[in-house]
Amino acid sequence: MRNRSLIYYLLLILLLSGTGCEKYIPFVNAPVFEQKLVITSFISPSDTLSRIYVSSNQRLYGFTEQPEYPGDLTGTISDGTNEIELDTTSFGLSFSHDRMPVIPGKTYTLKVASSNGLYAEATATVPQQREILIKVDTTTRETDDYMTVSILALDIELTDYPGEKNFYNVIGKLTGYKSTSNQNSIKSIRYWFEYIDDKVASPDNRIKLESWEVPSLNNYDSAFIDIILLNTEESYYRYHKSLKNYDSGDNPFSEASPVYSNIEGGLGIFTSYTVDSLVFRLK
Amino acid sequence: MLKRNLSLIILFVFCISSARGQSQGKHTVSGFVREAGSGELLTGVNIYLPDHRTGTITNNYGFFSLTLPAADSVEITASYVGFRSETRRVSFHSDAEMNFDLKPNVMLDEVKITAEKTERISESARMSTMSLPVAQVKNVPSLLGEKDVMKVLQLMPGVQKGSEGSSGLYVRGGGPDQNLIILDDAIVYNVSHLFGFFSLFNGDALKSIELTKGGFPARFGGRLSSVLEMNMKEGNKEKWHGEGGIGLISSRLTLEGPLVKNKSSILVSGRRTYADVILSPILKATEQTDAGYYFYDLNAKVNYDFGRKNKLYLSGYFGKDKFHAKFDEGYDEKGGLNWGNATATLRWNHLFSNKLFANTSAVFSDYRFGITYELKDEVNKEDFFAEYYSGIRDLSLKFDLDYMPSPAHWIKAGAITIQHRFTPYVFIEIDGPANINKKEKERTNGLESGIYIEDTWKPLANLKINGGMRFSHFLASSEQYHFFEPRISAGWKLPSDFAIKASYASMNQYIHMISNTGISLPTDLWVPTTDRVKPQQSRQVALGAVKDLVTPEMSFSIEGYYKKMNNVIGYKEGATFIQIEEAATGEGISWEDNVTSGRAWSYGLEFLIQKKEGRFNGWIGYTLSWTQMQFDSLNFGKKFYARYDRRHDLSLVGTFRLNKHITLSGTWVYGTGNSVTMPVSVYSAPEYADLYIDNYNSSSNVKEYGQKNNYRMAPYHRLDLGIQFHKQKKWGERIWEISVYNVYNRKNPFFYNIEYYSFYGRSHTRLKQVSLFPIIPSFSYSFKF
Repeated sequence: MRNRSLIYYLLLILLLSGTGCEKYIPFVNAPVFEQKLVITSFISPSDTLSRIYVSSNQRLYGFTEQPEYPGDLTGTISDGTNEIELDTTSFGLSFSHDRMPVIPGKTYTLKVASSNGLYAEATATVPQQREILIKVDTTTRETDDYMTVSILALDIELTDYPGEKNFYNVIGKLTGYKSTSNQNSIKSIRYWFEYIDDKVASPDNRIKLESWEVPSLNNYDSAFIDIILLNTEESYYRYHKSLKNYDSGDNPFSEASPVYSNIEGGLGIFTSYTVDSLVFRLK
Repeated sequence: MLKRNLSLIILFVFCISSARGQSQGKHTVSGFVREAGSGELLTGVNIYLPDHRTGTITNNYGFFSLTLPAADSVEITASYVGFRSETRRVSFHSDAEMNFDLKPNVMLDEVKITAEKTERISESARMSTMSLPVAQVKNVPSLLGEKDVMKVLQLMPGVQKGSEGSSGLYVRGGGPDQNLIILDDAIVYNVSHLFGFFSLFNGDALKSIELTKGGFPARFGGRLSSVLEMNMKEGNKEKWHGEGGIGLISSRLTLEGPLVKNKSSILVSGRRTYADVILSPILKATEQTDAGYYFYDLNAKVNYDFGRKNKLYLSGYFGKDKFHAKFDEGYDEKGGLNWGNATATLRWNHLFSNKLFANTSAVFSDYRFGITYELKDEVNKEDFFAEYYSGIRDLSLKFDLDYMPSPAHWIKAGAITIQHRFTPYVFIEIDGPANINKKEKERTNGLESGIYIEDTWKPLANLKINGGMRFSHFLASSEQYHFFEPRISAGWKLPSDFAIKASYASMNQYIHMISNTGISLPTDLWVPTTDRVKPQQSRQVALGAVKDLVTPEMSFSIEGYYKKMNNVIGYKEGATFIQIEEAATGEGISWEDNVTSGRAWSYGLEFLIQKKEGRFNGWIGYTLSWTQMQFDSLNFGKKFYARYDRRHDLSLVGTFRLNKHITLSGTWVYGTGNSVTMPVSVYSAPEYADLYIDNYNSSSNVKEYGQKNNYRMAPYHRLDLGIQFHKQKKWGERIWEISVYNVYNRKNPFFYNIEYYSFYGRSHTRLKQVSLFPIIPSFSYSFKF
């Protein structure tokens, strides 16, 4: 159906029947604002420094130009045995892996407090470092749209690690370079993101992704693709899937689709992953 | 569990045996009760024997049977609300046959209260049941003058509407899919016209309406929360009659009359809206768009009376809603949305003996909705057609027995089997003459069966018990389920027409309705229980007290209930079922992946004061209730209030016959607002790639929603008034009705929106309420001949 969804017809009828019934009611009480810490942090053994981005949620109703600040921050990170104070930064907090190594299989507890009286905490368990086989094939196929065009497609297949529950994030970044007459390079970038729950694996543990269609490379002198494979916690998967499915809630007749959070007393995400990556040249 | 269920079955067999023993050495008086002048069989007529201080009521087909000790004669009185009682005496040396033809009360005559012969709530074992006189539906003022059975039921305690204008029933905390709605034994799946603003039940065609909210007898099954049983009129067997009406948006006409006098009759009732005729020229002039909407209903019934022992009925309902639009943008583009129900029931009543009555029904029911789209572009040589449809079809066979061996027992038993055919979707796309693409979600069949036995037993003069057992079974494509469902309700009559009642019911539901909107839409899908989606289950207990008053004739009841539901369906966050684009690829739509199961609790108190007779009649109903749900995958696994959790619900309904020509009516309703999920703040939610992948920026500000259904909308209240002017004519009767919906123009919330605006150059955000129906006057003309 050409860009007309079912909701279009239904809302048209409602509009026709309800025109003129929209009223501003000044005494509708908006929900009360409760300030909370917003924490975003992805920790991995492959980093040397773990960043904890901390901000505050903002008012939705009333005068919205005055931002809310979290206040002065303090925090700790613990691996169940040791606990260290976090360093204050411009973006929130951080800790060096020299002081607290991030080790696969360990569980870390993050606690953050602010001078405004706000407090939040969360835990993350680092996945084990697994050898995940990743296979990338390039194929050429013809599209069946209005005219026949040959396109390059990337077919990616993972071999799931058996015997445990796994979640994966496969990120593709295509970078094309073109030299110009003044020696500068123009580059163009395209991304792909796949969030995978291993329940989709076949009985022989293979997970086949949908093909990534690569746009035409005719305008570029060279092109590279980075494929990053993250083995993540479930919370990482749920957070990104919920972001992908996020519905701003403008349709009053459908269920709101909130973004997942594992921060107790706050909002955001504290989660973990291990990483593997490939880079290869397409042109 | 099996031992307990077998013990209950053995107990019933014992009851039947003892009932048969008690009936020896006695005679039976039996017969049918009809409406004088039409021959219409009357259900629930009170048959009372003052000499024996005992009685019974007629069954769904107007039949009664009483077995009593032999006597010289026996006096029998038949009485029924809205009709004049009739008393006769018959010789009782042998089995006797006695039929009654009750005359309707002439309107506005003083009604003699003979309350000791009128059925009283305190004498029945059943509780949580309401019979709604069809005449009452026609008196209550309504939106745009359209009399609506569902809207009147929503005025009863324990029954709530979902949202402004909705026809959905939310009964004791249950959702709209948990109601079994039956018209002449056929299940009706979508009961709404115009997205829930009107129901599809034409009151002119109905004879009886009964809603059961709890204490379900064993003969009912398949839904958790209520059974709405409606029967169509048979048609006047003596002479031709008609009635109809012309309203602001629709008109209706009903014709009924004899095919063979006193043996066979036919009834045909139709209704159609003309909103399309009114709107079309306006739309053409203002939007260069030709669009329209209409709905129609057609009820038909024919029956033949072969004699006392055999009667045959064939009835059907056909209804459709259609929305169409044609866009004039330089090429021919049009779309349509349509949905409709079709039902057909063939029933055979057979009297095996004067104590044993049987009904066999073969039933067909079909619900389907579809969307079409067509594009013809001569310039660019484009020719495209797409159609999407979904539905459910039932074929069922039902057998019911009524066995009345003595006044102390009324035994019912029977079986039903329903073959469901589910069509989640069919998508057809034709792009040019050579490219036809059809994708069909595999049709699923399910076989639902039930067998039951129940007895209304009067072990003591003051104690009446309705106890039963139902065995239900569902065969899905890869799984089967079966459950025993014990049921019991009891009434203990105390002096002064006061009674205490209690009930317990176990229910199972094998088919589910899924929808991701808060309003009734034709896109609501009916799906079966599968190996992943288990049957929904409920256990309900209720305890209540009722008091009948003789003068004036009123009844008071107070009832408390507690209902626990398991495996209730909820929708995962972000789930959507209306993605045509995904249907086009044949992928992505798996409703099982979009739903989740959880639990629900509903409890509350219901109060009802009702006056059924007299110049002034009506009721006051109040419900205090709570409904909570819990899903592991929703709201972080915490309990939350259901959307339709409504703490207080009050209805005041009254009709007053001022004189022979004028009837006044009014309703006032109040309800706590719905619980909805409102955003409470906004915050930044970056992806991993925003922080760690160069040059990536997803600009992710999202809203915080807090707890699910954390916000209570403003209360809903509304006053409707109506006045009817009756006049008797030579050819019949005409009624002009003027009514006003929402008299004081209350802006009741339909939904809330967030509005961004600038105030003195500074950005502000506020909640804006959208209301639907302001004050709406209407008038209509009705006639009977």
